[in-house]
Amino acid sequence: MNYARRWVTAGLVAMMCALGACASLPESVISPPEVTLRDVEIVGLGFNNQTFLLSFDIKNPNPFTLPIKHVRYGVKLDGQRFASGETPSKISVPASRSSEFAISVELDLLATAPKLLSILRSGVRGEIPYALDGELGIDLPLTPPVAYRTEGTISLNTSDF
Amino acid sequence: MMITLTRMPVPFVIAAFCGLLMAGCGEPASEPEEELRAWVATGVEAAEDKDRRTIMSMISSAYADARGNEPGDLDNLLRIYFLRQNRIVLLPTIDEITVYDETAGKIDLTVGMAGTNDRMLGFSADAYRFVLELEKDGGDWQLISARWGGLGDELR
Repeated sequence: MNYARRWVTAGLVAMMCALGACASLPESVISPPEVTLRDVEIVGLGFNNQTFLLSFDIKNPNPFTLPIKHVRYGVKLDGQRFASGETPSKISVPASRSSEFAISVELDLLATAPKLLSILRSGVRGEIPYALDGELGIDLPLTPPVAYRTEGTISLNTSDF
Repeated sequence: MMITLTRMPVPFVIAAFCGLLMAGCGEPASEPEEELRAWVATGVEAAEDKDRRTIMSMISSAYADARGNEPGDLDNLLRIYFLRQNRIVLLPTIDEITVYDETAGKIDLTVGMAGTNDRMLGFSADAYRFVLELEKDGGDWQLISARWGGLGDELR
């Protein structure tokens, strides 16, 4: 059965190529959602690592529910790479509305970003600029992943550090 | 960019052959099963014709799925798809049909699909598995819920 399915898909691709349609990357049928970093919370402190909970908001500008099957993300805080990765998702963002999701990451800032760790520990700054980029896998047929990129500032509760 | 594929018919010959083999197996289909096969064929034809009205007439006003979709969401989704895809080609394979009391049914199918659009001369191809739940209302089969996902992915 799987063998037949592979041929079915291959046949479709071959047919579309024969139609002369394969000249560039596919265009998404959806309008790209907006993703913002809402909160960075420390949830665990170890000798060699720290565990953070990154909370995101995702806004769906489309007039239909947007099912997300994976989230790829990269976060910079104060210009330094803070965290990056990819996680599977079962989020469905309602039409023209927002949803939130959180990702737990384990880091060793002492080794990877000591300057950032000192900023976090200083307790002096409450607002830190961030840059967020990544990609959302959309669980809809004929819909390629959608890239996103946002910048802003985030308020950190540095007393925890 | 025009690409000539001298071996292009081969996948279609094999797919058609497999389809014939599967069609020839098992007991004769019951009347509700035939109706559900016809329902799928109507839906595929309507999708390829970008006939949103026909597709929506096949969906119950009580439709709801685990993703939070209601009929209005599906209508909007189809509108965007049909607006932005110049051409849609579907190649469905019905994996299983289950009929309950001749008034409810479940269709498990795999659909190979491809779409083109003019705006960026792009194309994309995909294959999804669908599990459709239907009920017979006033003589017509109507979709009341659905789960779907890419091949190998969890259906939801």
